[in-house]
Amino acid sequence: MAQVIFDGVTKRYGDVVAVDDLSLSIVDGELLVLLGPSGCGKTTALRIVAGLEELSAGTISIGDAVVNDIDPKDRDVAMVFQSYALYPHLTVARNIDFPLRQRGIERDERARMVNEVATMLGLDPYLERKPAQLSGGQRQRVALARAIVRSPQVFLMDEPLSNLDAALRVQTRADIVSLQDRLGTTTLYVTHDQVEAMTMGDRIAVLNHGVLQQVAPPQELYALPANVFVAGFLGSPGMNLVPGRLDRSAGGATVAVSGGTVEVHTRVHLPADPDAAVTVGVRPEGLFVDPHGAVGATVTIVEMLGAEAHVICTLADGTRLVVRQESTVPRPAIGEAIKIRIDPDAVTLFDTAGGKRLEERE
Amino acid sequence: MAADRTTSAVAPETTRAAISSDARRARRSRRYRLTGSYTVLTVSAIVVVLPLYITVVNSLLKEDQIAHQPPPLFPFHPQWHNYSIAWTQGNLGFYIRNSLIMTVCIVIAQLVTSILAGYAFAFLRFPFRRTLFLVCLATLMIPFEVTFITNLTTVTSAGLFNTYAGLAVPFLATGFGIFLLRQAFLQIPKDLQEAALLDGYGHWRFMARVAVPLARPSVAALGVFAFLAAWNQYLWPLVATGGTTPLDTVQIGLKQLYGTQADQINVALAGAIIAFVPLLILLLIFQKQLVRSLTAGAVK
Repeated sequence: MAQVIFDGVTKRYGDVVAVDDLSLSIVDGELLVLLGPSGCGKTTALRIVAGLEELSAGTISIGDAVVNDIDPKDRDVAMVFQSYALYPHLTVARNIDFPLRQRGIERDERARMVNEVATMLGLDPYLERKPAQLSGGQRQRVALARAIVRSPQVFLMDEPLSNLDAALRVQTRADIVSLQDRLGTTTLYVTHDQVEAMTMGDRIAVLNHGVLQQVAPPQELYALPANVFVAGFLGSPGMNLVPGRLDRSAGGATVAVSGGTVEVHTRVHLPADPDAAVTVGVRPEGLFVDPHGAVGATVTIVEMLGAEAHVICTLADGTRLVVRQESTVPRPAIGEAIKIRIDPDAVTLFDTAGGKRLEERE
Repeated sequence: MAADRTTSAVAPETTRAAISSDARRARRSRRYRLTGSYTVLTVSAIVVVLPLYITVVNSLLKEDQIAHQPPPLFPFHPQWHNYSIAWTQGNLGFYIRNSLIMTVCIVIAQLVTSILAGYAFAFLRFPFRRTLFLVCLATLMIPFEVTFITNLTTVTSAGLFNTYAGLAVPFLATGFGIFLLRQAFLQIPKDLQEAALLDGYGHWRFMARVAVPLARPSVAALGVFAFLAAWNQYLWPLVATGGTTPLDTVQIGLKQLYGTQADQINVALAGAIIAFVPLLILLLIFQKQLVRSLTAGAVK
């Protein structure tokens, strides 16, 4: 087990910068999720740790050693691929045994290790089957077993759940978390699925266009997004972002948005400019359909999700808002003009020009 | 309203009738298509198999029956001793041994060179990779006859004239083999190579443990093709051995059998069938792999 440190890591493909000056440390034993949309550089960052991509600049360390020039096989990392990358001509037992054969371990000892891992992952009944005879979930577990059997310093997982169906994904992600917890192996986990990231990560690092946006524990990331990208990307649906203009005429602070005004707390560092452009961010659960609300909107869609409903409406300027409601609350009709109340405690303000969150005052 | 009801009562029946007539038409057209395909296949099979059949029949006839018009289409009194005559008088055991030695050398060498070069073109990055591959492909377009004299002078000047090495050396590597195996290796997902790399397997071990086992149908097919081509060679062994020496191969042996037994075509044909047996065994064993490699990539 070991910590992994990215220090100023950059990867360029010609003119395209896939990873841009990434500095990030993954603590020993931690499960850190690299999260971002497709093409954000998260898989490239993972492959850099594995040694499958060379760095354009910066250093990468595993444990206490800089591994820039160390071969993948000597880095003592194990990777679980999105495609599982199982050897189709070998049985499950031989697949799990594959990394051990190279290490000069006695045959009996290898068999014992394979059986132990197979039992841990419930693969005993399938040891003599070929990968083609397994279901997606079983293949996924074989891929995990092959990674675990070596007891590497670091696990690298590249979207390992994306080929599973929804129900199995929920089950497997819980299995991976408890397995990682039990083994205590430092794990770097790549996904584009923010629910996966929120439920699995000790911390989440959000990447966009190769640039690190924020690293924080899931709850902090959700409550205090560093910028509008993180705010919009995390949460399902993401944070509502409404363009507005600061208004201090009434002594306190309000933000004028299309369709009404939003009251905000003045405990954040407001811009010096009294009518600065700001972006009001508010999670769907901070909005309420209320006849006494301050912002007018028109309902466009109502999505029923069982326990809750999403009321999707538009403001006069076309900005889309999502309001989360308990399913027991009466739902407005499509096309209805409604008023929306915004909980001032739920409002996060962003500087429109830079997209950064306005910090709270000490 | 009454009229409406009548229309709606009639409508489903009309629809049903239309559907069943459509289904009938579809069934009929499928039947025609099937009949057509089977007719074409049967005719092709006859065209391919008939000469072989006649050879077998003639090899079992008496000499005077062959000249008979029309020739018999079935050997009612098969002359099995034609085969023993061909074997002993034609000295076929000796020729087949020579052919086997040459052919096995060529097959093994072609498999080794094609696996190595095909792997390199598929998995390694090196300067002029594309150009070198195109050069390999270009050799496919040059008939052997074009390089025949050059090969002969090279082999002679290397002191390999009339040796097993001289028989085999021009065929140790082929553009076709390299191309076939490169394509097979390209089908292997890159993830597998990377997974093996992380598991501690370098190129040699990955090739032996993963790439070649996965490309087995193509490797087997290449082995069969190489065997066929080497076994059926006539011109090169004839020239490279001088034609009258102890290294002659089975095809030259057959020619000599025909030359010495000109009045016994049945015996010569029995010899041809004997020479064909090793190929037949090979085809039967590797039939599945051959079909799989020929149709690989056809449906995707």
